[in-house]
Amino acid sequence: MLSAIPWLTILTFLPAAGAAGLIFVRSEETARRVTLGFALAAGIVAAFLTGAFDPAAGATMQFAESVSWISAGGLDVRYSLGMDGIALSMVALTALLTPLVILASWKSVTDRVRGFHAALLLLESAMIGVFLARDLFLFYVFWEAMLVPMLLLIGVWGGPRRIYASVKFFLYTLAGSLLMLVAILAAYFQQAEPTFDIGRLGALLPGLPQATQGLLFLAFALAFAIKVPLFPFHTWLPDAHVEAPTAGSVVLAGVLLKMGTYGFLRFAIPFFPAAAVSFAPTMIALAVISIIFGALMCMVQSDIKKLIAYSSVSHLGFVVLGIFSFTEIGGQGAVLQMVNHGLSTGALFLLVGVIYDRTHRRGVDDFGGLAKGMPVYAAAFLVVTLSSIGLPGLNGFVGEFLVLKGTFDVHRFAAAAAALGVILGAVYMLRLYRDVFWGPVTAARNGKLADLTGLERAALAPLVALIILLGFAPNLVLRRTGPAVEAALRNVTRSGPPEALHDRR
Amino acid sequence: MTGADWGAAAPALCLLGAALLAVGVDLFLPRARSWGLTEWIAYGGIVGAMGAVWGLGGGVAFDGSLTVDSLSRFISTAVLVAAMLAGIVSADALGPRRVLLPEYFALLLSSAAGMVLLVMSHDLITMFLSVEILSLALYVLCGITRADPRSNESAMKYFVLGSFASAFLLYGMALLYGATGTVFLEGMAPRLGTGTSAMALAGIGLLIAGFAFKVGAAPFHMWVPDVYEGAPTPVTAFMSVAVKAAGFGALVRILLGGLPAQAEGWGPLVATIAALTMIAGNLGALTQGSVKRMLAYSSVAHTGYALIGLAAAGAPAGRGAADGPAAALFYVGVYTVMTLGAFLFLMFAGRPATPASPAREAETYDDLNGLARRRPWAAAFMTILMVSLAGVPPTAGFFGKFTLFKSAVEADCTGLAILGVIMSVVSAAYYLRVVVAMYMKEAPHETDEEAAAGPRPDPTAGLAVGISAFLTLAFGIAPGWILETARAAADFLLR
Repeated sequence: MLSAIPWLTILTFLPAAGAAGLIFVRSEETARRVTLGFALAAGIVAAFLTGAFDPAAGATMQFAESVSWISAGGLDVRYSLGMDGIALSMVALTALLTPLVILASWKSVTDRVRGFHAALLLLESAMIGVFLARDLFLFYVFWEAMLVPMLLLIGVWGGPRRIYASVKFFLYTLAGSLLMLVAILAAYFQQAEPTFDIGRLGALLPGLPQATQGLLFLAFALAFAIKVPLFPFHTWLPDAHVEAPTAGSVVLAGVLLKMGTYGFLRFAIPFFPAAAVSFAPTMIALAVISIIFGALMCMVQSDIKKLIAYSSVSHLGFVVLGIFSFTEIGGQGAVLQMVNHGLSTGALFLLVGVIYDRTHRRGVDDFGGLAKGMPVYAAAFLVVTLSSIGLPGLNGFVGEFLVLKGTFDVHRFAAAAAALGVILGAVYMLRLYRDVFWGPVTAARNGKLADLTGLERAALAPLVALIILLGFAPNLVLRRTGPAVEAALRNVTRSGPPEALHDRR
Repeated sequence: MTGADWGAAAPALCLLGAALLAVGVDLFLPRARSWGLTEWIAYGGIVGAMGAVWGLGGGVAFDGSLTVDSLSRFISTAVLVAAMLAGIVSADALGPRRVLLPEYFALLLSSAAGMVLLVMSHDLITMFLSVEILSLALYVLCGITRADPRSNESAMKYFVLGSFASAFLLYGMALLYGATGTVFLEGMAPRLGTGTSAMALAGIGLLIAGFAFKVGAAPFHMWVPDVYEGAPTPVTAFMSVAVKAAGFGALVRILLGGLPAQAEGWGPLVATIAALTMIAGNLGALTQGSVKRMLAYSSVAHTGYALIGLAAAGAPAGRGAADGPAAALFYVGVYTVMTLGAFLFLMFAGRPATPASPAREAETYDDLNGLARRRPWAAAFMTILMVSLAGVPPTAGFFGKFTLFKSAVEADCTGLAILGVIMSVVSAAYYLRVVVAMYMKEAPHETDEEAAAGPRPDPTAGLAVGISAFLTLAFGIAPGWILETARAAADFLLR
């Protein structure tokens, strides 16, 4: 009975159905409730699927669905969805973050409320679709469908330079993905029997000659590198993050950036392993530069949101480093770090949103001594800060450790340089915490700020809880993602299959 | 006349009959009654023609001068849909501007009849006559708002330059006749064989130049922005899509139906024109301050994309494959829907008539500022159309470009596909300006309440925009049927 229900379709289109439902809603309060209802429903489906997912078969596409979509004109496009361990972790993250940002926007978004929530729900559908698609064409449709809702979220509900930031985001991403489209088409015609099926492509494309692989890999990698974003393709990120409303920033950092690293794991590396191996040194160099550059940029930021944006560049550099270390430990750490970054940076943007709502300021200098008036807020911020810098016992530590361990085995210098990034991370985050929360209250207006409200606590509590939980039990993620990571890196793993982490419980 | 003759002539007869009837009714009835009636006569003619296109049998008619096949049906449908959507907004928009509606509808129908004949014509003479029928009616339509100097300029420019193009076309046809000794398309291939004489090549070149002018392809696109800007918007909407559809139909028929063996000659030419057109259209659109001119340049750009399909069919690796022409035809169909909606939107988005001032269409980007607050549905529809024109899924524009780029990659014209995607990014920059204006900027000095209390715009224009947006989404999510039809049209030619 379970298999007869198209769970993944339900999960993917539940939010979109909610967006359509908003057409019939008149009052703003109802719009918020309806949106939250649909997002929670999607969250419940995701939670149910997480429970029903078989970790032992984590590399196979579970709950698979497949029907023919476009078979006209010599095309064979299928609507096929499926979920392996990596997809599961990303989908769960998406379904978790969306209801939380709706809670966080409850009071702060008051202009064109219905449109805001419709865009948010459409965005969620597209993001879930990206992670679940098993057909390259379908993937591309979801990948691009996400652009317009995000454009509107940043451009309509964003800060003063929102138009510049949103258009820049749109054009950057579009430029990268359209080249990927040509590569997708080229890959399509490289086979005797053209197909868009990701599974079959994964079996066929690695047989291509090195030169062809190289070109196709570059086109895919460019699209993903822009999304991650990897230095030097990162310049859209600080603008988009700073101008986006809190909800936009959280979703952008929490989920959208992962679509880039997900793309590397799912497409660029398994499809073109020979090219991936030959470009790995370049990718690792870019990853290390991103880590160090992002961290150094953080040191000099005076805008808290910009600081967190650059910290994303640095953290996503770790993810890319882990993936391109081509060790299973590194890959495992990378996926865990994708989840961790979603939780901790998502929480950080929510937290910045809290003081921004109260003061409409985001400068580090605007605050000081907040811990006195807002103890709960300060405590939550501390936990998230420590998670972000990788304190043992919280989630960030495990991921960073695995990435560094995996990299150290094969690229000592890169691992050492990346470790420097960890230290810098501690410096800028702790300095931020000190300046904002400790010391005397620097401005009179900051003394009277109210502590977290019930809504804000509800939005933050699940994230803080997961940050602590995954710090102690990272296997909750690793057990499910392990087999899928192993499968994704099978063609490129360096030193034979090392003993799998998920078995060492 | 045989049954096949009647079947082939029926769509044009419906349209021309309705045109005559509309003018005749105006002679005998008082104006107050006739004007409303002529509108409905025109719709009746279009619906009748549509019924004739799909209901009556196909085949060769008039001793091989006309052919009713899947290609003519496909393009005729696009033309008639365009005529219908442009027609339903015309009465309310042009009546107050002192346009004689019976004449207007008669000209619109004549032009549509010329287009329907053009895509059916299978010999050069009929083809040229059809081109002239559609063009002459359009020259007048462009200038039909006689009191408006810009409309006059548009008509004059179109007439002078259009006559040039007709001369090119005719000269090309004459040379082709000289080289082959026949005017019938199916007779040309056997007489030319695989070799190509200089005279035949010159004829093909001039023929392509003539049609490139008619569809607005670079370097013969200079007239497009001025003519499109000056013509009354319903006319612009109609001509921007219907002439292109008919012109593409004729080009496909000549190049693939009549001269497939000469692809070595016309293939590189079409590829060059496609590349130039994409560049000229997109870069031109980027710098416009008027939305209507931007849409005019964008229509040039889209001609370039559609030409990729023909270029792919002419490339060595793509010859004999239906993918290129099918993609081009599919794109023409999709383009019809998107661009019609976008032009008609300008009428809906403008300032409606008040007792104090006449209606004004939206012209600059600033005119669209804050539209999402005043008319949320119109803004949402226009966003769908803009996104589709930029080629972002899940819209028809994306799928159309996808099939075009696919045919190019398949035919080893990857360079054209890459140029196409780069130009698509450029195009996103100017299409986004519309979205930015509607959603992210605020209208000056007008609160929501004032806007809501103000005069309502013409609802038929809104309806037409809504239909376009709906079809744009529907063809993007379920492109199967229209793609199958386009492919059948292309397959038929290559058999």
